[in-house]
Amino acid sequence: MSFYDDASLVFLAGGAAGKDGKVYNLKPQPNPVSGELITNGSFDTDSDWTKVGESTISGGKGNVISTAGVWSNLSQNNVFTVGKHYRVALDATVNINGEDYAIKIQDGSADANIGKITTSGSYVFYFTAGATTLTIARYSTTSAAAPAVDVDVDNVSVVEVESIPADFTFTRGSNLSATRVGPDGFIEKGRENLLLQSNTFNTTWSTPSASIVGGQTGYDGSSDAWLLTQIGVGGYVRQFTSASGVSTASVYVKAGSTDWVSLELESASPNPRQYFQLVDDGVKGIDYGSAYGVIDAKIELIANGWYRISLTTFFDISQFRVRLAENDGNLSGTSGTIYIQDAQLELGLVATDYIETGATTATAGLLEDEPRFDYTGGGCPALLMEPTRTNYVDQSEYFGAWTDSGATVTDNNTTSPEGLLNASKLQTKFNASSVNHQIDGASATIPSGAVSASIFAKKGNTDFIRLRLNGTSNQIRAWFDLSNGNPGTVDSGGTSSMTSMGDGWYRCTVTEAGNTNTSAALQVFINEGDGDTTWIADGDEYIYIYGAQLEEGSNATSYMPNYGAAATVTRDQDVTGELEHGITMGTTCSVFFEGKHLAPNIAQLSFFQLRTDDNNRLLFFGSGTTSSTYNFLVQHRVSGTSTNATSKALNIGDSFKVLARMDDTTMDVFINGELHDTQTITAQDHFGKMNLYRTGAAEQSGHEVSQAILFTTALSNNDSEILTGATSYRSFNVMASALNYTAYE
Amino acid sequence: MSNASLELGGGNWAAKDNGDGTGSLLGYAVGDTSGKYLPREFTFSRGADIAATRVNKDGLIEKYRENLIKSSNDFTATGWTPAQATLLSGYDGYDGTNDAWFLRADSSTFSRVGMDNTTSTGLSSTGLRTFSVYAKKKDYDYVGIYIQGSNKGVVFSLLDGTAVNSIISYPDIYSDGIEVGGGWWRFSISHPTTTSTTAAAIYACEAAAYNGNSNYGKGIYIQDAQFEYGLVATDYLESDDETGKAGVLDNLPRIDYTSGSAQLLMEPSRTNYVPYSEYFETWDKTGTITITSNYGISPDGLKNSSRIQFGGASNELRDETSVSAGNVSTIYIKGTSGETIKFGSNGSEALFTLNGEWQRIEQYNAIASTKITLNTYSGATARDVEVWGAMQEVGSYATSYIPNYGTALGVTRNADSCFLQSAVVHSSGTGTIFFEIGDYDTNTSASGFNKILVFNEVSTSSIDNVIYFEEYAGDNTILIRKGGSNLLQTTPSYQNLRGSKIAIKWSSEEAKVFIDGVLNKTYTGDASLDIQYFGFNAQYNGGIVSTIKMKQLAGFSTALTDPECIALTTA
Repeated sequence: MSFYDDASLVFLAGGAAGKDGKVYNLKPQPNPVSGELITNGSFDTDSDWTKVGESTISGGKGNVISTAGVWSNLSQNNVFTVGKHYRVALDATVNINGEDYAIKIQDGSADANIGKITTSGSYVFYFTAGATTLTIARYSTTSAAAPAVDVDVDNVSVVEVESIPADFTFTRGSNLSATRVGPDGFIEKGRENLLLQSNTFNTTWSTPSASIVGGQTGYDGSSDAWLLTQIGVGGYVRQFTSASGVSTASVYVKAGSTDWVSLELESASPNPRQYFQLVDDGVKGIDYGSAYGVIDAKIELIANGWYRISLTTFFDISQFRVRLAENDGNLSGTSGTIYIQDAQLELGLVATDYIETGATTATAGLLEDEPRFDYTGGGCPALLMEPTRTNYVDQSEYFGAWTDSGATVTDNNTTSPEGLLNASKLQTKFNASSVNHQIDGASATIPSGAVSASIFAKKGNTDFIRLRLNGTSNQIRAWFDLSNGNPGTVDSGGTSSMTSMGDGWYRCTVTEAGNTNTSAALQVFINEGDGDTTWIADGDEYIYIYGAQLEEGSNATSYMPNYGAAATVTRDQDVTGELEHGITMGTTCSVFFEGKHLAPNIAQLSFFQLRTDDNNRLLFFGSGTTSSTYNFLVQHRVSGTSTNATSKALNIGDSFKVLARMDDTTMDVFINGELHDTQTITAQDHFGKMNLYRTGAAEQSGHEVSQAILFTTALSNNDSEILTGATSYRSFNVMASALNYTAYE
Repeated sequence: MSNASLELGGGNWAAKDNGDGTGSLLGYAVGDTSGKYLPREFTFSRGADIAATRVNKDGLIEKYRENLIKSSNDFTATGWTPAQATLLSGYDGYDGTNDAWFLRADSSTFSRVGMDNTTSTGLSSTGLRTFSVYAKKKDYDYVGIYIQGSNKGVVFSLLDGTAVNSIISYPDIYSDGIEVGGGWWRFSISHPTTTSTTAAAIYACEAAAYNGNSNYGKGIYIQDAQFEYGLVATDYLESDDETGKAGVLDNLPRIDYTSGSAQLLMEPSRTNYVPYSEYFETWDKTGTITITSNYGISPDGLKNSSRIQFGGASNELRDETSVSAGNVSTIYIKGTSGETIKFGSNGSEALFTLNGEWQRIEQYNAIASTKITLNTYSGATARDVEVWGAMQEVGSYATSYIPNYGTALGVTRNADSCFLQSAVVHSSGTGTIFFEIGDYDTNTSASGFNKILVFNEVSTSSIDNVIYFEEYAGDNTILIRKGGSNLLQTTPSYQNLRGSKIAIKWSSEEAKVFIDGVLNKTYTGDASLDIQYFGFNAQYNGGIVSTIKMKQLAGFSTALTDPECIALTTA
């Protein structure tokens, strides 16, 4: 038997169960306790359903159809029993809809109490019945102004379940600024293909002086490629679009009767462009360079004559073009063909895996409201709960945009912690005099108070990197030894740290707790030794860098890429909704939590809470936080009167496990395998709602959640010790051997 | 019922010497859900002596053993000094390794290698010691082993293992070598040293003399030197910078199999006042008595018993001692079944009938003793017996054997002390204790002091809030005290509870004691106790007096139900 068998609610980040807007719990599970309760849910015959208004059953589907102002629905009586839990599933195809929602599903006790559907798809809803009839209806009530609706429904199923799932809702805001460390150890970003109809070149696209035909054999073995035929001078296929800051365009191409092709992006300045010859391993034409906004261009041989070509620019662009060329730089041809497939325009320095789009852009990787199961350090992931932060570095990866002095930058020079070839080489310039060798980011307006600057760096043939927060009123420097991961000297008023990211990469962070600058720039220096400043470089010393960040706060939070579209980029706070789990905990129960404090020098951090309201709750929180430690507390509060367990000093960044066991009038607190404290409490079941941060206190986060488990029993001391991490063994003899005992039979 | 939050014994025993002056005894708890084992480690100490023994699973008495030579098979390490010799490593050894050494004579005189007592300081201690080494012929046919200080040694033949000559003079005990195969022999010499051994040396001998090699540049193979307590060479113990140790280490809790099953043995401090408890040739004789040391297999499984042949009636073998009144004498003896032998100390001797097996005979003496005696007075019929392990100690009963290899003032085994301090075994104010004691011996003379088991809130010093299992005059009582007052005492007040299974539970509402499946006594009222200390053998008037053989102990964080307590204490 496992603890999970005994638990009533299990949140386990190790399962990494989440999606856009949801964090799933492993338990409670909606185990079915009945057979199918719907008759003719597949609409095989025109029977068993009550059809209201213009609804029909035909072609093996139910059809909720309604012209303007007509109330229509399909329903079955005596499906539900009031108070019982149900799983309702159906497939919906939305043919016509002009409102926020197309159809609603309800039992008659409350409007749309089972669910609402806007777009086509398969849906599952769980609910507790308040009445007995299943109704699938158009969303809008009857009114002459209500627009027409046409929705096909099929495979309607209702099954009674033991309990309804209790999952967290999750939000973080509407941008792709958040990142995490993924299962492969690489930083994972949100990605978006900014093109529409990215492989439907006869829709949204236009073909000046050219024609295009689909159904061609593609690089991926499909018949999804297109043949682009030039019928006039400089024929091409294009899409009007928009991208600001650093962006990369890419497309798969194959020679037809022509083997030169140009990838071109329209901008207000000279159009960034690159010519490619589709022969051998691929040939790049002349480099148009920064005057044309070109950062980089690549051609990669895929297979069977197919190449992926890409062009990276720092110009804002308004059009994506693929052009047939006669030869390098020559668009004078009037005929010829090439094959194209899968176009992509994305922010950033390199082309990433292709994302198919349709009428709207499409995203991949870490999505806007997707909970972040972070794998930093390897092993099982933890749910990352960070406060909102802003990266004040305007170009966090394109260091070519920084001001150099005694140093040069080569972009896209080596594999970064993201696993892509988008890290930069920072190399000294020869100077017979002793000078600094540095690049400077743009000065940014920053708030007073603690600020942290960070960058990912890797040793080249030189060991040290120096960061300098160059403020208007004061400056803080910190040196970092990239050969061993040890922070070096740091100026008074600053602290520094290094975090290994694997493959020789470290995240180097310098924090100034008492920053008084109103604006500051991040400066990055190459040095040969700890504490060194100016030096005479040969001009061949180098290190690698990636991902600069300057943010408010006493620690570097997860990386927020900024491609220069705006001076800053902001990641909103991770917010899990308050979960009403529906489990009766009683006054004899156990609550287990595993997490990690990540935020130095904050007033208070709430890890976890079970509550009725602010005056009645069980709260796990940290206070008295310094740069490295905090006091962990468990608070049992009834009617505003708090009983706090004795605090335990823990280290920031160390994972901990805690279990609070309430047994009527006693609360025992186990921390990291040991009984830490026992308090007398006033018994009360006030555990109905669950939070992974403190409701209403937006800044009380900056932590990881690995596990949260609720038990409706008081676990034994033995189980409490084991669950909170006491070293345990599978047998007495194994234990004796591990502890160097001699065992006697 | 949840699993016990503390278990000790009951078939799961494990112990260790921590090497830092303490030992540990492994209690445990088993997770109710996971079934995993959690350690609950008792702190144990007995002191830095080597006097403790136990009966092991094979029924043999197991002692402390130590190879007093450091770097016992690294003859070029610090402490080993070659003289007119060179040591070369990497030769085929007796044990299939290539760990043997070539001891090469480099001149004609005294070619040897010796370990000094500056590095191996244990050599300096005096008493009965045995020096052994493995050797094999290479170019030379002889090896000499020598105890410098006592200046005793023997030259052995590597051709047939025989002792062929002395080095300076013969030690008191030596015999031919033991052939171990592949041309290898193990040679040993034993001697009751009275002066410090300054070096233990090995000679490469071309002829049957330790000096005068004529063809040097040649030599013998040697391996695994050992210098140890006692009359015989025991299994080799490898040493490095530290001496090699095995057996009952100084702070190793003793799991004893005297009863046939494993039990924790906890004893009070005792001293064996017999100077040579295993070497009887130093004893005084009256009559015609022949003693043959290392004659047969003794109760410790080694060939180190002594054969005693009495010439007739009224013969006596005795050793002088000086032991205060109230002492007990014991000796292991094996003789012809049905024959009798007289044994005891002055003023208190008795005839014992032999059973043909090894038996430990015991005689109490209420007055002071000046000797321990084995004789054929009073019609004793035995004339040919084997003996081993004589002991005379102060106390009313005999404790486990304490070997004495020549310490005139006696060898002392310190008291076993063992406890667990844990806040997690019981819940605040509530709990259950279950235990089963196999047997115990004691010599208390007053009630209220001899607490064999103590379950206290903090330590053993206070008896205000405590549960304890006490012995007086051979009987027992159980007391639960709160706020300095007795809440409960078992009925009758004192009864023999050896071998009984006992459960005690307490809470804010009541306290109860169950003995062997029967509710013995109930207290109704607040009996909440925050028990966190679990100790054996509370001191009695400054000294631990009981010998406990503990079968099992368990603690529960809850007050078990009456049926659970009854089931727990029912065999």
